[in-house]
Amino acid sequence: MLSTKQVAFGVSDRPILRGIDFQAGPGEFVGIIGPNGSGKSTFLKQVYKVLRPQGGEIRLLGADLLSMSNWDMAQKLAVVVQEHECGFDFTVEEVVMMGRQARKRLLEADSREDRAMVDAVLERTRLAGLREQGFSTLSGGEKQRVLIARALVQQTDVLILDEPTNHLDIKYQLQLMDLVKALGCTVVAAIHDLNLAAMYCDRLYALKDGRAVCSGTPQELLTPERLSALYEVDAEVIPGPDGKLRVFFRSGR
Amino acid sequence: MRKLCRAVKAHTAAACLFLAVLLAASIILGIAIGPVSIAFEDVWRVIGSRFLGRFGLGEPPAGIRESTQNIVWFLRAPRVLLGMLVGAALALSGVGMQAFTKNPLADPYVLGISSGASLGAVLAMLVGIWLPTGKLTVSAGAFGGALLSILLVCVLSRSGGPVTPVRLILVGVAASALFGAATNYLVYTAPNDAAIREATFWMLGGLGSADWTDIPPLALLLLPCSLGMLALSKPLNAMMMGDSSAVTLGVDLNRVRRLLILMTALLTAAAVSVSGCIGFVGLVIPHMVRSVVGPDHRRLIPLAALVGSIFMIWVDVGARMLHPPAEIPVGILTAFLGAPLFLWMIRARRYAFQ
Repeated sequence: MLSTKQVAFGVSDRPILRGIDFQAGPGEFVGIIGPNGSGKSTFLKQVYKVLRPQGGEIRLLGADLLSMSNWDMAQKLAVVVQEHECGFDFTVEEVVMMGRQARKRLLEADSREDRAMVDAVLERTRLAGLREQGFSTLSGGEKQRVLIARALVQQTDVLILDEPTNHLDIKYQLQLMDLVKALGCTVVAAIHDLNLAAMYCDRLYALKDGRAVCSGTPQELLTPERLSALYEVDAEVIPGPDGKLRVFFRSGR
Repeated sequence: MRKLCRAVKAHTAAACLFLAVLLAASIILGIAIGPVSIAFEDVWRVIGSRFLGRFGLGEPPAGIRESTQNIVWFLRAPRVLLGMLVGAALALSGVGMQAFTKNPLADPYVLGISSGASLGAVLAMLVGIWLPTGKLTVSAGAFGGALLSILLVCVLSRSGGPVTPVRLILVGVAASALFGAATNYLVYTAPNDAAIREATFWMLGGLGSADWTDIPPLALLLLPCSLGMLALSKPLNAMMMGDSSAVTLGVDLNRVRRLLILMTALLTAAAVSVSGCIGFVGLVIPHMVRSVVGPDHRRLIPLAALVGSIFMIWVDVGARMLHPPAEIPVGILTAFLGAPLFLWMIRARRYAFQ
């Protein structure tokens, strides 16, 4: 579905990504973990074309992403971005409707199907009550849910989440991850919280200093040795009653 | 008020139609009202007969004095039509600049277009002291100055990094100051008082010099530019949510930005070249329309163009009527009206500048 080969990127001689090989298969939920500054977000930005790799290759659904137009990409891949800026006050409904743009011609009006789809997604993300609200008046968590709803109406095979749960309460973190998991599409997510990663991801990639240092299932990857090498802290990993791993940290001192 | 907003939002096409009727009425009224007041019926008849006369039809309107006919056809009609076009052009380029900079406080002149145009116009006037030149030279000077300044700003902001709106604005501020200084230097050292007065009047902006030759170029430019901007409205909406959002929604950022800058620059330069630097229209009209229908460019663009043209026609009527038979540069009036209106809207909408 989505694969990269030796993707490299740097800013003025400082390398940020040093050749990343990555692969996500159909329906797979792949998490990207790693400490701050490891290149998680930068790597995802290459994959959704906000940054252009200085070397390497990215393939999306068998096609070369770098020569693909943004328009084509938006029909295959949706992104929940980290930015929340909006100096102009669109309503929640208007923001979500923007997800339909790449499916339409420039002057084509919103159809009844578009509206029905937006209604359904607003219902599913529990935003129906806020549809007439201005986006800029929402709380951080509500904004995040709106951006998720916008990505959902794009109806793509691949969904990218760039630290999606950053602004969310625990309840909404779990709700969001359940929702995304139930979609059944290929998901690639940069995740800070290792317990969330262990709960939802099929496979994980660990990034450090711009390299993918290891990859594997949560069971393979989330070991005390690997985590202490990755994050430079002492970690303890125990299986929970649901069979998923729980990760605890101790200060290294 | 809320109900009105919702109604206009739901029936944008009907609102456009209503404004178009209002615009037609404003044109007729704008021609009729002036230091010499003319009956509506006479306005109709003169326009009808002159228009038909072009095709060899109709007869000269009987019983209307030649001088009245001349006022209607050669003075007021082109002036009102020019006001309409300039108002629409300024409102549209205001929408364009605000979208481009993602800042609701931007106006058409934010990239130094007005000071570039002023410099070009003043240069043309000074050349006019030695050479037999006319209005057309000044217009051409202003148009060229405006386009050159925006080109310069774009080229300068490209060196050493990507062209971002913030860079463009900063370079625009610097270029503005430079051109302004050059203009003031030229005006101050000008050998001829008449040129100074003309230059001052021009920098304040006015429609007094309108004649029929001004209309076709502006109209021919306005039509494709407004349609082009309308076609870009969905990408523009996406861009308001941030650059990353726009890319992931399928927008080719660089292409849309290039097209937008091109259309905005052409519109502003054309408006400035025939009417001088009329301020506040490009800032206030988009705001006003946005406060009613929201920021969706599919509604904003047609409505702002219509409201801008109606606004301009009536402000120009005011400029003619306040001290008849003398007239005030219309730019003074737009500022008098626009600034308080703007303040009121900031208070009413409680814009949060985070």
